[in-house]
Amino acid sequence: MDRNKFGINVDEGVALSSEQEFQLLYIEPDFDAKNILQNWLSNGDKPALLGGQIGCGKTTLIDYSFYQSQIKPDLTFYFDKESLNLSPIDSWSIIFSELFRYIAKHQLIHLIEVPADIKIILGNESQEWLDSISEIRLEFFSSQSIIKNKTFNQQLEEIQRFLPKLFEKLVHCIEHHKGSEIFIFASGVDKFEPDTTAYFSLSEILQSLSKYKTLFEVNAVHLFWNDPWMQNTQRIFIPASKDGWVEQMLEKRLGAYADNYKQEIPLIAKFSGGIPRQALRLLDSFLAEKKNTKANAFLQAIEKVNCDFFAFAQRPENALLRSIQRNSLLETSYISLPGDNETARRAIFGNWVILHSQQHESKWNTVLNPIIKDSLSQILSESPEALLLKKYAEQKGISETGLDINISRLNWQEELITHIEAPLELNITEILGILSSALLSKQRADRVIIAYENKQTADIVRAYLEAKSNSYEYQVWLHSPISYKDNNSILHQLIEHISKQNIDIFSFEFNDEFPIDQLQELNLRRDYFADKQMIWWIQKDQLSNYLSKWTQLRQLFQVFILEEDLLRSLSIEEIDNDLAFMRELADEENTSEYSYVKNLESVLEYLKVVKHG
Amino acid sequence: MDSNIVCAYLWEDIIRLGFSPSSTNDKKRWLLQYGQSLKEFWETESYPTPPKVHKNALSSTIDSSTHIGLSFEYAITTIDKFGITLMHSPPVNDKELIWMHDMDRQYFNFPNQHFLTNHNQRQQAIRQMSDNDLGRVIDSLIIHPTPHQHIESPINHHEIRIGGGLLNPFLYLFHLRFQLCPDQARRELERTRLIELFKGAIKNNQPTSINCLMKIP
Repeated sequence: MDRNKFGINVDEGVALSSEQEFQLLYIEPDFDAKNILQNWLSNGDKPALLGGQIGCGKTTLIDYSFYQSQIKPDLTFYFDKESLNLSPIDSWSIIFSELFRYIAKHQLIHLIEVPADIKIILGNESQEWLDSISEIRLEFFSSQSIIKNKTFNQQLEEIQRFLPKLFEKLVHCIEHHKGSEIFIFASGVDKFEPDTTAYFSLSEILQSLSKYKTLFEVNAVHLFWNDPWMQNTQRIFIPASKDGWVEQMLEKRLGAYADNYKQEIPLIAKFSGGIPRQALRLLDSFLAEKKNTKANAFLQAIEKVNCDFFAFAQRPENALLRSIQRNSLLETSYISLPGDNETARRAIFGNWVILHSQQHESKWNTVLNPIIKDSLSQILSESPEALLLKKYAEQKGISETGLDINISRLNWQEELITHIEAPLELNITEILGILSSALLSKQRADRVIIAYENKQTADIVRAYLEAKSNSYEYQVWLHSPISYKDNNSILHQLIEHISKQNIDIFSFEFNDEFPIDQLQELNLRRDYFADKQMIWWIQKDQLSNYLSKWTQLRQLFQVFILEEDLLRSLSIEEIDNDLAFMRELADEENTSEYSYVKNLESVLEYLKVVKHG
Repeated sequence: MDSNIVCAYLWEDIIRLGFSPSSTNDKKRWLLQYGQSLKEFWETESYPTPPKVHKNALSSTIDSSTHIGLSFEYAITTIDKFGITLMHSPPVNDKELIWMHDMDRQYFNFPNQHFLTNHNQRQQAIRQMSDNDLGRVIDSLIIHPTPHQHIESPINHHEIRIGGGLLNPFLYLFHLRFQLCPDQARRELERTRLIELFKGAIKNNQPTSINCLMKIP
């Protein structure tokens, strides 16, 4: 991902991974997990679980530790992006294709015994193996690669019961040739919520991996779990960061602009709950609201991020939230209790509550996420959040961009929480205002969900956004409906489109009711989408079905509800003026001007029909 | 080579490569993207109206940020004939303040390019150029125009310097984008960005693309 060397870097959801990114944006964490991990990388002799809540910086910490220690895994299995279905075979397919890639890269193909049918698929020479594996992993999408993927999986399925043994044998051979033990990284296990079908389908593989020096990237809830494969593991916990650290991170992200936001940085840090991604999302939303010169941009940013992360999400039981609010403690032994879906596990997995540190044995210091309704409605006037907000309001109150909300009056929170945990309805120009930085730039990779009632309106809004995205430079859109098909999952359809070259913005319209497992599959494989500029169109009455299944995926998306009356926000006269000027420039297809004019003309035509009948 | 000679070549190159759209459509594209970029560069509420052709000139009116309270209207007939009218409307019933920067090609101007072409040392100058040389030239064209005016009252922003010696309409507009930006951090970053941008353009002797020129640091 391109980072801004001079200015602001807010692209949340995408971990830091390159040397340039580390030098520009990385800051040392304020907890021990990194030292423990580094020590494990150098000296660890048993598998390790590295766990933290969503958005706490797991991937960045891991990548940085590899970079700094120069100890890189021999094999990396990405369970959150390299499979198409939630079956054990697909997961084994990830394992074996990466093993075979390693074998081919190290010129070991003639020294290692591979089942004959699989060898036929892979080929005879190392380069053939590498090409075949690229096809099997669908790194280049084509009908041939799909066939190869299916054939490979079928071959594995035929010998499924022997796969753990085959895995052991191949690893043993590799270790023999390497002359030392192999180091494996199991990435993305954190997306698999314990006790779910997808998690069960992975357990045999996790068991196999746990016999080696494997680093498992897991969610915090896994650390309190005790499945057989976890028995002999070291557990490393990444806690929420302290406000001061989050402030430093925000300053780094704001670059030379940090001084401009001296007043907001402590507030954003406080309401981030110590979760870096939540802090970045709040910052991003604040900057977007501020650009629209909204007076109470900070409060609107809280509202927006709350909506993105929690609207329609499955809530933990109120009793648990109240208890944590009262005692700031969580009894973590509750997490793995059977039938505990509604309480502790959901609260942690969905970031409703934030774990800070172990207090005593299974009791952990825990707070409510500061941006959920329960937190906001209970902020006492002397609480740190309220004091900071008051100070901010006083400072801003004397300027013309002061807060609208009078924070000194009783029950001021009600004004804020009216819309909390419910989606926000915005008109098209408000949505464009928030999206413009991302939409107008080829460098950005932001993702958005727009929910709509009327398809025709959605089509017109899409045409409008496409026109505007071509204001500066030519950006190629790919728009496609995604429908329910028996033999082609949503994920499969999306990947097929995403693998197309030279597309800047992917626009997908979900216009069916989809089976739950297909929606969950998207949730698990969310990292497929992390570096893509995307707009997903979803019918408003379906939105709650989708979002409730997308605890992980929604971390990458902003969610908007479209106000249907376009005439209230778009002016026929203004569009006419824009077109009058642009038509002369649109003399060539495949240019920004041509795209701008073509799309804006359809918007204009629609508006005229709506207005004049 | 004397550093001042190097800077003289850079001066002409920057104007040629960044601020000399050739065809009418290129001029329109340049002005359109210029207008679009101002919303974010100045953090104003709305995009200015696109330029229009009026009395053979491309023209538009643009409002600056409310922090500054200035508007300007440009009318560009050709690359060497243009007028830019700056306006300040006070909030109360005082009179409007209006003044105009006018460039009239009928009058003699020192032919810089002619002398540099005859001197024929561009290649050597480019080889010798440093970031410091580029910074000096960008300062005197955009960041801190050598001859300039401060508006002492009623707009009391000493950091605004309206250049007096700028002969190119697109350069003039671009320097207003910088001068009327209320964000100090962005102003500093813009200088660094422009040095990098023009270093590449000059080395390759290729015009900067409009959207690269208009990017927000």
